[in-house]
Amino acid sequence: MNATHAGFILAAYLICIGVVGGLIVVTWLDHRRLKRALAQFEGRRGSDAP
Amino acid sequence: MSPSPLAALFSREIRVARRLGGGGTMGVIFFLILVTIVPFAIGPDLNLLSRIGPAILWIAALLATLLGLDRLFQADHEDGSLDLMLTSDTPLELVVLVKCLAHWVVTGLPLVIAAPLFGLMLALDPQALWTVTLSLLAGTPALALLGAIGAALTVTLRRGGLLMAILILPLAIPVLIFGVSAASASTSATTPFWPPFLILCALTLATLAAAPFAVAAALRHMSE
Amino acid sequence: MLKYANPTFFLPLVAKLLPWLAGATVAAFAIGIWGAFFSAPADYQQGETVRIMYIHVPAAWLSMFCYATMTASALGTLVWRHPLADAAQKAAAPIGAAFTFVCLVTGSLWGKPMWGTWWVWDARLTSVLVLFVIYLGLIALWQTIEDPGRAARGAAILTLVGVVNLPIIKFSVDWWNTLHQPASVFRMGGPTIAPSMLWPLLVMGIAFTLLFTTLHLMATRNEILRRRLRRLAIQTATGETNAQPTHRLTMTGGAE
Repeated sequence: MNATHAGFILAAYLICIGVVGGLIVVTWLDHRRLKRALAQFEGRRGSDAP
Repeated sequence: MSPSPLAALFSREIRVARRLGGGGTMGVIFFLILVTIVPFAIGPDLNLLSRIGPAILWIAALLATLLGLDRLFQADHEDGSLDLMLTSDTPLELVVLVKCLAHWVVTGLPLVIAAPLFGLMLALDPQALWTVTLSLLAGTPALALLGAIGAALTVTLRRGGLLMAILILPLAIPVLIFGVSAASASTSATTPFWPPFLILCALTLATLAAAPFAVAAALRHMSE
Repeated sequence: MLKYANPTFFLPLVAKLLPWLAGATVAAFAIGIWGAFFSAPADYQQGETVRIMYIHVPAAWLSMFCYATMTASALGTLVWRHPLADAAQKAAAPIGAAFTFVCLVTGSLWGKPMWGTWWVWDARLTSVLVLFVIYLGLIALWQTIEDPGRAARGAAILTLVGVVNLPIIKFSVDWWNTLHQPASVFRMGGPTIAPSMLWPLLVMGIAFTLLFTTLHLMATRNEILRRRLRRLAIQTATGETNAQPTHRLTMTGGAE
């Protein structure tokens, strides 16, 4: 009985970690992509200016 | 122009609905088809049908109110008449209320009138026919007004129909709960008719008071 | 340029705050999970499964806290037209949906061994499910409307309509539930909860709130950067002209 319940507890915690971790990773990757794109714009503008 | 701009708007809405969508007939036909389809899905057991009949009629009414709702403000946005309504002296909230009333007269009222007939097909007993019809009469205006909020939020979207349904249906849950409770009062011994019916009326009145402001705000913000 | 004024103050502040917040979140989770697994006793009725409570209840609390944050931001959008409020509002919706999802799934995993089914149409569960659907609708609205300012105002109105409706939905679902009383209703918690179980729960609540704050700040910063990027892209596309007329060009739908 204890073993089956351990599975439920483990699943609940894993799903929680998965969702929250996924959210963190997605937000972080999004941030990196945005920063890179912004830096690209800055660079282009710098080379266009002269 | 007729004496009152609101009366003129009302008759215009009715005329447009009659010419474009056949007025209320389309909604009633859709209602009929939904009621026809359900027995095919769950079987022709009359006892079961009469037990869940009020619920079927209410879900059919909920879906039928969504018909054409996405065009409620979109058509006006496209041909520019919405800009006229936004800039006119008549308060936008009243304009919204009249448009919702016209929409209800064209889509909701025919359903209420047709409900007893379709109730017979679902083997409802005479008392249930009454309760279903009364609850639909009290509840469908709230559905139309809630729908108008979704219609206003999706006014600039070309394919806003599905999004509108997603936005509105969760908000319609209270109306559905009390509507079905009142409608099935006679079929189940546990529920009385009046408490859910009066709460349903209260919901409709509250929506009537609050929704025009939300719709008008949404129209102002979304079409600027 | 005036619109940039606040975000330029906000971005360095976030950069300074984030490491501290992240550290505090990790520390709070470490204490909370230690408390939940090793310090707190197993419930005499529910056994070890009570340990799911330490993520389920904070997730439920956060699902509502996040909606409150969105409501405050929605007021900021509609009343003050603050661009930071737009970003905060957009950033909160997916996080709220995620926490609501966690709450539903952990509730289901808790319910299976306790009630014997994955799902019960219990008043509490049903209300949370409706909240989840409302979150999804808001995210859908955000994704469909292209112009960020207009999307923000639309979502703000829907959020406020939702705030008015949520108590009504809660009330009607309670009514509906007493009408169709399920066979066995399991009452959660009960009047008293032992202090040995209460403190890990509170610590986990703080940890979840810190986690939400961290995530929300990160996502809000992303939204500000996304807007800036969008503006730059439009400016270069229209040839370095004024930023104002480009607003009109990007409107979706309409009769233009």
